[in-house]
Amino acid sequence: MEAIPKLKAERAEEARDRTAADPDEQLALRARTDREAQAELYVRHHGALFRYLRARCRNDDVALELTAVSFEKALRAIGRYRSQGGGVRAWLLRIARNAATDHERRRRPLIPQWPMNSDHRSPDPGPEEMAIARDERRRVRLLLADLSELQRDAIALRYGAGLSAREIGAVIGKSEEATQKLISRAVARLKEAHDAQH
Amino acid sequence: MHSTNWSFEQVLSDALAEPMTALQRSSLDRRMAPSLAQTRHAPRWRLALAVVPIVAVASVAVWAGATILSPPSAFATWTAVPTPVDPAFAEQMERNCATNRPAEDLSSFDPQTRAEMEAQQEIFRKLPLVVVDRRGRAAIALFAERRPEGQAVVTCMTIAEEDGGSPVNGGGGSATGALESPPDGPLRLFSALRDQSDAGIYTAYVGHVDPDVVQVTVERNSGGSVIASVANGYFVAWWPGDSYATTLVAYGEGGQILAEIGNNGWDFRMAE
Repeated sequence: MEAIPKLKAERAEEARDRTAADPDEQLALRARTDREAQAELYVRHHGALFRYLRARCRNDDVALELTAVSFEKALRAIGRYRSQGGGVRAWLLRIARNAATDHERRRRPLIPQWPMNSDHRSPDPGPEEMAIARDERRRVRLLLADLSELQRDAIALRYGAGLSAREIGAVIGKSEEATQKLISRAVARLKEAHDAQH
Repeated sequence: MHSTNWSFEQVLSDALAEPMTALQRSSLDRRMAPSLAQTRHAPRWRLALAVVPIVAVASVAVWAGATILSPPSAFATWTAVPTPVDPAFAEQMERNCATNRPAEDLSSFDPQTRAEMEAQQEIFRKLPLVVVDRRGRAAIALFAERRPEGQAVVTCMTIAEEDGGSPVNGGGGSATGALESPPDGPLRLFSALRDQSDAGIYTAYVGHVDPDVVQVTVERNSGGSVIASVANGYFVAWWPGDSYATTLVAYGEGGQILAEIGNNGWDFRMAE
């Protein structure tokens, strides 16, 4: 029975160490009362959240809105943040993941999804090669639709948000090893689909 | 062509780690401005972010919009059928929207991004007025143009004086968009937007119609049809509150249905 309090104490100590060493943790602490720190958190992490949400939802506008929604929720909840399970970025991405899940549950079948076609114009003027590369990146992102939700999450967190397998595990609630396997299988599946297109 | 595992991981990384565009960053910053007030250059307006997740939408930029000056009762005069707009009202509105559109502070962006955004803003500044959708004392002006690089859109809300006539007060732009052009069709929805004004929240839908479309109706989740204003190949419909469109129908001269599209059900309640 002694092991549990001891474990808690060890974890608390680990958390204190992490807070002392990690600028993000310091920032999260300050952000409880300091607007500047909140803004700094946003500046540091909005890109990772957006890229994760874009990969997950495969729609830039939805990803932008969900990024904002996630930060609004995070800023409201920052007082309850505790240093555990992958740090601030993983905590923010868990909020983003929940926001995406909520959105997908509420969403109805979408009719005006204009298909990608040859008339699709690039929004930015520029060399043709850039437009081709942009379309290719978009096509690759669309491949994620064929993955399971968990695989899509793992891939979006790995290649979109740039998390390690351990950090991804903290977000999706899996061990590092299981997460690594999940990613490997998802990559293999995506590669197969990608190769079939080319 | 088959890729190796390593090269495919690079492909994946390139695709998923592609950074947001400067315009996306600008949109997000503005969307977040109220939440990060006092620390960033927070404008008084709230972003009217395009919320219909149109695959073809590439980027959305936003003007700083002047706060609507009228009291909340301005929306009490709203009607589901547009109020006729005389040319003097439209001209005054066009002037107000242009005059009250504040310059955006781009000082926080790097020189290249700033130059790109300034070029975009210059395009938006010169867009022609295509529709005025007036409902009681409040009206939305739509400035739009289909350009080689895509569809550009600016909306602007103003409120008329209490006697309901010109001149209008308030104004300023509330949203701009540089949208990739969707495929042709009789009825094309560019975006739905929601804005928080001093008169309350309003929701607007804007899009393009073919010349043979004479009327567009919008069904809402809250019930009740709204007749859109249609002119110059564009349509606008707006209403107070945050209810959303469920169906848009385009009618021809003889009352026949030319097109019907369902909305995506995006209900603006995500933030709760």
